[in-house]
Amino acid sequence: MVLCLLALPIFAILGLFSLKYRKLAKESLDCMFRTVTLRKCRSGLDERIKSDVTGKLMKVSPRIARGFYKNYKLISWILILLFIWATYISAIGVYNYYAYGNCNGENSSEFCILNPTGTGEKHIRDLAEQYGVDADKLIKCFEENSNLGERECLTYCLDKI
Amino acid sequence: MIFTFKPENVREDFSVLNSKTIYFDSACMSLKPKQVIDKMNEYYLEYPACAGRSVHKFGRRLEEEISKARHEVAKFINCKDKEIVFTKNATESINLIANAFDLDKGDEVIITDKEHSSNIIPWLKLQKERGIKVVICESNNDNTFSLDNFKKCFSEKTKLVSVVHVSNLDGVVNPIEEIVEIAHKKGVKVLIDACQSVPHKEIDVIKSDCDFFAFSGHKMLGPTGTGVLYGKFKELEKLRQFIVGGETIIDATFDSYKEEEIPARFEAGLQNYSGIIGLGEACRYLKKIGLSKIGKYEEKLNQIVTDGLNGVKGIDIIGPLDASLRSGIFNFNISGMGAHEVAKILDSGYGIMVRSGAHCVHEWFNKHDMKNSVRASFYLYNTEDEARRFVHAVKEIAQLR
Repeated sequence: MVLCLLALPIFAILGLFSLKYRKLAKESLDCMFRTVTLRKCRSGLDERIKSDVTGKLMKVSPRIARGFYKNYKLISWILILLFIWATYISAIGVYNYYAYGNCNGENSSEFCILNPTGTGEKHIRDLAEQYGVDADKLIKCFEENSNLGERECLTYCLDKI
Repeated sequence: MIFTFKPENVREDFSVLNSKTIYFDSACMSLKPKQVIDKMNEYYLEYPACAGRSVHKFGRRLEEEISKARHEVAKFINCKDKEIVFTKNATESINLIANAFDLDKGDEVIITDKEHSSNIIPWLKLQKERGIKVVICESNNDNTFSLDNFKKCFSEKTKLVSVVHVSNLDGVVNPIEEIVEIAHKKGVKVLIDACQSVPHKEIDVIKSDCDFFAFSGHKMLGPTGTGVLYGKFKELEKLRQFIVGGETIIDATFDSYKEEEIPARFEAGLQNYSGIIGLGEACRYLKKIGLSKIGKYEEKLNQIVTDGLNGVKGIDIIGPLDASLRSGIFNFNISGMGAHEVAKILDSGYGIMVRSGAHCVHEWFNKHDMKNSVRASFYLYNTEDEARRFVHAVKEIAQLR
């Protein structure tokens, strides 16, 4: 059951591109639905995933395989929690990027995966307009001083420009 | 050309085999040698026509090849060509008898408690629809055939005995000659389900004296969609037609029709020509190697596996512990682990393909309150090294618990 929960979002995304994964996603959904309605999961998908992973680990080390086989529920729960945590962090990042042009929050110029070149360009253009300076120059200055915090960087760049 | 049997030489004929792939599911589906595949392709590439109706050269060539295939199959089980009826598989062969043999309300059919679904469901259907009675002959505690129980199953109403020759569950060989003798003394006809025996044993239907004998091509290196029903000619003559249509009649008016000769009267419509020709080639291939050599070799592989796993904690062998009684089938469970789970780990971790499930013997599993099992089945292309690797793998898997 636990592995079905984990598999569902993964197979759902992969299912957008492949019929094979769409079928697996349906199985995961059915399994999850049966679980939440207090019935036994009948697809056997979790068992298949467990066996498949155990088999592959057997090639590496029977001891590791045994560890996985015996603790797969715990491992699955850890992976689920990691997944939920990663989803939460990603959602915040997306919100920040949408609101402030940077996925790390209002006053940050740290690396943002949604904007790998630096602080949000749209946001800097807004700042340039607000302070009446040339937007391209301000963007360039922000890029050159990305090690500074946003506020510090803004003060420095406004002085410089 | 193969004159002496060495598995290493035979393996060259099976292109899917390599050092990383171990195929232990031949009781379900055997692999096909290139000779069989080439022979099947020959039909599509050289004479892709209809048999039995076209007078052109493709038609004539096909007719000739079908006759040759029928002759090969007949030779393979030692009967006359006209006693061979080609079907889709053994299931269809048994269904043909179930529907064409004279069975009425109250008549009894004896089967065993270890039949494949193919040899129980057709009779249960007749029980439901026509009111016949299905009598079950219980096996001994070690799953071997009980002649004493068998003798007790007969009544005045018994019309047919339909039993498996070699069980696909555990490889146990039923004593068909004794079974036939007992049945015939009581005036009862006998149908043998020989799916698991024909690919592995020398068969002589004349010697066994059975009335009908059914088997599939796909378990004996032949193509899928091919099966055979042997019947003593005089018994085939008594059968009603089952599936009718093209090729099963000589002439017809709007009111009636005249039946074709045997065996054509039971082979309705266009047939699986390439499959039939391939089956003939499979018979030739096996005959050349020698069935007795193959059977003995499989028992040797089973002995290696049985010696390696018998007594290992958690491993339960289904059927008699004596490997020589289980032909080339090793059926087992690991306590605390599901059969599908074990099979999947064998596949993904060791490249060993086995069958897991109820093996179409659901009634036996239900009776023994078991869900399913893992079955390894051996054939001529498996090696002793593979058998040892299987033992090693199962032992490692058993330690996962």
